[in-house]
Amino acid sequence: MKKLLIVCGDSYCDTSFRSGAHPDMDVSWPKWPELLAEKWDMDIINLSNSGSGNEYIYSRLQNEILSMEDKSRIGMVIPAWTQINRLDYQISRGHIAWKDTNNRYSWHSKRINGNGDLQFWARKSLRLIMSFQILCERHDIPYMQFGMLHPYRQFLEGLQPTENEVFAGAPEGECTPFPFGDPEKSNSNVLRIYKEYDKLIDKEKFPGWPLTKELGGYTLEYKLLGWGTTNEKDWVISNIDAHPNAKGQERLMEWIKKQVEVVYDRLG
Amino acid sequence: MKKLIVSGDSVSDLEFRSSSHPEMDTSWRKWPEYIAEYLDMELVCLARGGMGNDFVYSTLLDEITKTPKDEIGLVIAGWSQGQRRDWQNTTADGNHKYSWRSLGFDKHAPPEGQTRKSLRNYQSLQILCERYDLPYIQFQTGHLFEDYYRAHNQNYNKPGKKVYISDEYHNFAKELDSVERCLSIILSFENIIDTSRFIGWPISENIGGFSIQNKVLGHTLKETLEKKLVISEADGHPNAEGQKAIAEFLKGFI
Repeated sequence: MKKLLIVCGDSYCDTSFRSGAHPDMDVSWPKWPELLAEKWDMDIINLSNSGSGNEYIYSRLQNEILSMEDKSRIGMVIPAWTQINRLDYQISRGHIAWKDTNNRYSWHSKRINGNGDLQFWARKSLRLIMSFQILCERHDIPYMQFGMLHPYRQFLEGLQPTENEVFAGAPEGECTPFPFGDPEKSNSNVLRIYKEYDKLIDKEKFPGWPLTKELGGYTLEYKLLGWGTTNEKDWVISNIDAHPNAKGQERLMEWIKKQVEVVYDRLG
Repeated sequence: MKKLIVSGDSVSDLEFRSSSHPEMDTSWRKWPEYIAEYLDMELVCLARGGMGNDFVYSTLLDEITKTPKDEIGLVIAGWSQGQRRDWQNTTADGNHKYSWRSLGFDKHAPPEGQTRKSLRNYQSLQILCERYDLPYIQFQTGHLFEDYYRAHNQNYNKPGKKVYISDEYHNFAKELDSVERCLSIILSFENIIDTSRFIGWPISENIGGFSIQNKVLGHTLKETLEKKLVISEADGHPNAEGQKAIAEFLKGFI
């Protein structure tokens, strides 16, 4: 029986990703989790969902891992962490009426957590990252962690309008200036929080830690695809959609494969 | 001396004050203090009134990860109600003493989602303690989700009526269905939760479990008042005797 590769992340990892900027574009190219599973001859469980936040990522992985009776089947688990400003929650009814919409899943997300501030969001996400590490250590499960999107830089600089806001004329309530005072002061406070976790994170299994350039870390969006859409356009969909195109997904897969194989033998 | 690390809600809060009786001196000893004395351990009590289960898990995770593991003698989680939403405000906003805040009702998710979220916190604590081989126990302090329905009914101005009672605006069948779903969600976690460390599992009396408040203090207002273990008719929190009774009950498991 093949081993399992279990991945969870946001739109950059989502098999059923669609481009909000180019809704008519065929974006069905293979995504890096599927490409990676093929390279390692594993079966893939890809739990990724566009727009989701870090609570979704941890919760789905937790459910998947703990509900699996034979954990020796798990060959590798990879969370690709996303922006800390997102809020995830689960509903349990209404599915039938929403079956043809993007609300058909039990998990829902908001772009901005209405409670707390940037520092709390950072702590919340770091607790999720720690909890995931502890979960894998407890069950001796092979894992690697990555930051896909910068945890908060886009929020500091002002989030771009959503598809809904652009095309459907929805209120731009969420696309607001930074609401927590001086962005740079918030930034330095958040950097301090990331430093607090430095001694707790298993850095060998977290390439890019501590995720921010100021502390010597990086996220994959920045390192492999270029910052936003302004740099290495070869890897992203277009000037108005920074998601990885087919070549970008290949690039992500090759890089992640290489990083994981430095730590774990006999995967390839 | 090893540490006893506790988190929970108002029932476990050393600084509990009664909002129904704000003038009352409620500085009697709380159950964590009795247990620490019984075990001859140094108490680290993180519990706070009004908080939910994200708070309980987060404070325990923070404390455990920063404490040398050989200094930890026992971890106890007294879980709270599932419908509460917790967060931290770390920027200065007045005279708030603590960074943590809480809302009584999480507007984002129905009870089923809240129940799952709480149960994932219970699992996460179990994994955390197993990972570091720490002695731990868990229990449900009050109802996990039943109070959501009680309050929901009260919102329709039917304060005298119990859970499951509905009116024309409040679909009885849907609500009952939802309760059943919450119960079945709890049971779906049974093969993952270490029930030997979870006092009262599976939490709800509807499926053979219990919460500490119900088990020790009583099931109904009448019963709790007769047992004289709660503050008053207006405040169902444990009084001095109630706190002692909870501690004695927990000692039986420890």
